[in-house]
Amino acid sequence: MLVVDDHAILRSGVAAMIDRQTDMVMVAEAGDGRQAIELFRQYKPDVTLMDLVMPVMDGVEAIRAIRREFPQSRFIVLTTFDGDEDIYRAIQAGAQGYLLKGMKREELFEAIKAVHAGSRYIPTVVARSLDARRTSPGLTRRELEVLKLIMDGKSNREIAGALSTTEGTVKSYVVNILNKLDANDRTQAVTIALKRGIVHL
Amino acid sequence: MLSERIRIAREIHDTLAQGFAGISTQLEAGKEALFSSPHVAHEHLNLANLLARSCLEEARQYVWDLRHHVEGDDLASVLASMSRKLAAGLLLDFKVLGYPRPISETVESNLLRIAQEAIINAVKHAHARRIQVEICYGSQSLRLCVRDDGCGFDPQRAPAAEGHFGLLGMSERAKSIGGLLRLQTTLGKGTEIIVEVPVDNKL
Repeated sequence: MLVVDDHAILRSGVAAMIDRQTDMVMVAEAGDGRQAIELFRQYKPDVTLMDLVMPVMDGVEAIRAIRREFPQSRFIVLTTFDGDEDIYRAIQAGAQGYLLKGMKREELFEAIKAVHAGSRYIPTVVARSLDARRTSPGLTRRELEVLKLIMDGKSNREIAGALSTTEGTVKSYVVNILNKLDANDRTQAVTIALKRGIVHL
Repeated sequence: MLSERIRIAREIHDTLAQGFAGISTQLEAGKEALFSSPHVAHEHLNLANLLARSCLEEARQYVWDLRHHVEGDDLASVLASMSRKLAAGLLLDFKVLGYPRPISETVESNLLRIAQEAIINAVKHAHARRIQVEICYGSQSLRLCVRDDGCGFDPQRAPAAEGHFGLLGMSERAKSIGGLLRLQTTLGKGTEIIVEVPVDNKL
């Protein structure tokens, strides 16, 4: 097993639990995505537990890079986020399991065994929001850029300046964003986007 | 203000949510070891307890922040007033070097938290009489330095002892803003904590 998380206390707790199992062995711990890639090459673990938001390189990027090199590699995402976009991106990248931090250790072991055996482990709550994401329209790259600038507290005029476009164009992007996210105003759009994991803090 | 709400949410995520996830994981690890190796379980419980206390401290500081962080105040003046409050009754030497300029809120709030932790450690654990806080605005980086004349400690020993535990948090904060934290301490000869963060001049 390889555990990847930038939060050392959490990482050591997970590693300690796994190490006490007779049928599991911890081979390494990493603090960011890039380190994870290096350690993966070195140890080739059967299952990797991966956090999503980390400095240097995030979890989704690391999963993608490792799976390109080792298509048989198996991943369980371990994260505080439960937004549908996060789950969607992680599954797209090739993760077979998804756990929310704060899970019971029985769940952790069950997930590891399931993923190791070649099946998926997606808790019901997670599966539900994944379905929601699959049926709802995603934002375009430009809309996402606009949304991030709204998040920074920028006005339409400032956004137009930053993206070298007109205020009118920005307004239509905003209308599209509100529609796609089913939001009444900008603040609600940001709240929904954060909750769904479309944007991050 | 939307950006203020986002700042608050980010703080809660970075400190409290991370903290609770860590506490819960350490408690689970403690339960796992409870009967077979009680001493290991004890260590996990200790760590969970320390983390809970540090979260509580964060929450307190956070409330303090909300009351005192007036929009428009620059890092140096917020740092000065925070240092005065935390080091009340001690000799405080506060210095600003270079040309102060606005920096990003994330860098600012993380540096404030690091300074806060360092000063609290100097007061509570090192029993310092004199504390020096220095912020230096360089052309490409920002350097924060907190020095005390307290009892110092041996960084090799008791890694989970309270002061060291806070140290891990400080070092993680420094890393999260692309910075580096250096520590110099000798038993009986005080402690110095230096954080250097690259700063984008456009901010």
